[in-house]
Amino acid sequence: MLKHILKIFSAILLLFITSTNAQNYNDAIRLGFPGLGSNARALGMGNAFNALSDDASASYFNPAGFGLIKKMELSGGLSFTNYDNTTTFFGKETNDNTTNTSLNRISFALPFPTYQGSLVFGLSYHQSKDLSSIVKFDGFNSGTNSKIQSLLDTNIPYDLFLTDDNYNTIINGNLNQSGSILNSGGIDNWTFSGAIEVQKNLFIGANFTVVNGTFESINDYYEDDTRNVYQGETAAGEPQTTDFRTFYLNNTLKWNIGGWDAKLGFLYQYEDVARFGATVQFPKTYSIDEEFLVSGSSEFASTSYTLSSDYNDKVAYDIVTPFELTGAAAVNLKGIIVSAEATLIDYSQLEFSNSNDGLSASYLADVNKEIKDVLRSALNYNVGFEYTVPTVGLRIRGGFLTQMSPFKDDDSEFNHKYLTGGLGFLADGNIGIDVAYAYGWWKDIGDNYGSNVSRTFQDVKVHNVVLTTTLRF
Amino acid sequence: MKSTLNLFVFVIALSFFTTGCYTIVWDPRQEFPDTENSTGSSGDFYDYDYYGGYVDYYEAPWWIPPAVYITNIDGTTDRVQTKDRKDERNSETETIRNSNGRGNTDRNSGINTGTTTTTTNSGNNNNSTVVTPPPPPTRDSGTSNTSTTTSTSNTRNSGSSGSNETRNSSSGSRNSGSGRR
Repeated sequence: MLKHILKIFSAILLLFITSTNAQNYNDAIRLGFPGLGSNARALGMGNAFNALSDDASASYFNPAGFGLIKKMELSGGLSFTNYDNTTTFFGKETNDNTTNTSLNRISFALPFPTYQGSLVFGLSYHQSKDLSSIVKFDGFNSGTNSKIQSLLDTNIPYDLFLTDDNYNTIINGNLNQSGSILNSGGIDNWTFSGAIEVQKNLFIGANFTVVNGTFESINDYYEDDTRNVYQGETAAGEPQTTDFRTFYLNNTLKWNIGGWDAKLGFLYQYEDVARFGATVQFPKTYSIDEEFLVSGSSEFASTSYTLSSDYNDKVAYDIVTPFELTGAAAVNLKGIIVSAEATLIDYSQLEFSNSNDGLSASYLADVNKEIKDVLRSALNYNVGFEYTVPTVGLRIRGGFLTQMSPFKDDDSEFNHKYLTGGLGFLADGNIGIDVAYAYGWWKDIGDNYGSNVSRTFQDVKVHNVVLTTTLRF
Repeated sequence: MKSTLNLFVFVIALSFFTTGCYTIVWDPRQEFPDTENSTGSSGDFYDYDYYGGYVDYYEAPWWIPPAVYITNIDGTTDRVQTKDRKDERNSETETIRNSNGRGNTDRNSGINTGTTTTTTNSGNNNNSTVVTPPPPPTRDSGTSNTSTTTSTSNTRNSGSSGSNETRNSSSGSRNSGSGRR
C-alpha cells in the first residue's frame, strides 16, 4: 500500500517536474535566431538586401523597399535544405543528414498610381525559418554517469525496474550511449506591408506579421550495456532484472506556434548610385502550445518493461524575442551592386512570458534569469555583390553572411557562416527567375544530460537552394 | 537601444511635419497620372547601359507607358517615353499597316512590268489579254538616271458608240497607298 501511494505521489511529482523543466534558453534561441528568408536574389547576395529590398521580399528585409516597386508584382518560390551533421561522441564519428523541400513564398505588391512619389502595399506569405536539423551519435561513455542516473529525481528509472524500492540503482555509467534528435518544422509569416515616399528618394515602410508554424523534435536515446558490466540484479529483490541490457527513452516535443510582430523600415536612395537602409524589428511575440510526449523501456536478459504511466503533458506560454536593429548600404558601381549590412540582436533579452497553462511565474523568472546569464548580444553581418550582363539579362551574384552565436562563451567557430552564390535571368522583360545556393557551416555542441559529461561535438554543414520566380505587370 | 529607437521615430516624425508628404496619390476624380501630369519620380538606380531590359523591370511604373531606348552612334543612350496609345487607328498607322501585300498598286513602283493591253470585242464576245514583257534593264552610266514607264490601257469597243474608256489612267488610283484587298 505504501509503495502504491509512493508511486502515485512520484507520478504527480514527475508531472510537475517535467512541466517545469521542459523549457529553457534553447527553446528561446530556436525562435530568436534568424533564418535565411525566402528570396533567391537576396540569398545569392548573402542576404545583404536590406538597402535594396526592391521586390516583394521587402516584407522580410525592409518594408520601406516596397516604395521602390513600380509595377505590380506576383512572386513565389521553393526552397530545398540539406542539413548534414557529423557528430563526434566519445571519439566516435557519426554522420546523418535530413532534407526538406517547401514552398517558401507567395507575395503580391500593388503600387498605387501617383502623380509624384510612391505608395505601395504588399501582401506576403513567406517562410522565415526552416527548423529542420538532425543529430545522431553513438559512443561508449566510460565515465561513472548515465542518463539513468540523471533521471533518478524522476519516476522513470523506478518504473522501468532500474532502481530498487528506495530509488537506488546499481547503474554507474560505463554504458554505450547512442541516439538521434530529428527536428522539423518552420516559421511561416503572413505579412501586410506598406511604404510611402515621404520626401524625394526617402522611403518609409512598415509591416505587420501574423506568425504561425510548427516544430517537432523527436529524441531517441539508448544506453546499452555492451561490455556486460551489469550482470546481477538491477533492482534488488527483482530477479527478473538480472543482466541489464538496454535503456531506451523517447522524448517528442511538439509545438504549435502562433504570434505576431511588426517592423519599421527606412530607405534612402542617394542619386542613382547608392541606397541606405535601416530597420527596427520590434520584439516578436510567439505563443507556444506545447505537447511533450515521453515513452521508454528497459530490457533485461529475460524480460523487458515499458513505461506505463502517462508522462505526457501540455503547456502554453509565450516567447518574446528582442529588438533587432539593422543598418545597410548598397552602392551601384556601373552595373555592379555591392551591398553590406549589420544587425544587432541582444539575445539576453529573449524572454519567456505569459504562461497560460502549466508554468509558474517564478519558474519563468528563473528561466529568464538563466537566459541573461548565458546569452549575449550578437552582431550579424552580410556582404554581397551582383553583376548584370546587360546584353543577355543574366545576373551573377555572390555573398557571405555570418550569424553570431548567441552564447557568451562561444568562439567564432560556433558562428553560423554561409557562402552564397546565385544567378538571375529576366525573360520577356517581366518574368524574373532567380536561383541561389548557400553553403553553411558551423560547430555546435549538445548535452544528453548534465554539462559536458555526455556531450556531442557537432560539425554542421548546410546546403540551401532557393528558387524564386517573379512576374511584374 | 531604446534611445536609438526613439531617435529613429523622431527622424521619421520630423520628416513628416517639416515638409509634409512628398507622395501625391492619384485621385480617381482627376485625370489618370501619366508622363505629362506626373511631376516627379525617384532617381533611377538601374541604368540602361548596365542593366538593359532590367531597367523597365524596376523603374517603369505600370500606369505609365514603357520607355523606348535609343542608342546613339556615339554609344550614349537616350530614354524616350512613348506617348499614350489610343484605341483607334490613325492615318499614319493605316499607311504602315497596309503598305504590304496584294492589291497595292504601288508595290511594284520603280519596276518596269511591261505593258498590259486588254481588248474586248463585243461582237464575238472574245476577250484577249496581251502582255508585253519588259525590256531587259539597261544602265545609263552617264546620267545615272533610271526611267521606267508603265502604261495601262483598257479599250472597250462598244460598237456604235465608238468611244474609248480608260480606267486607272490617272495617278490617283483607287488602291494607291492602301493595302491588300
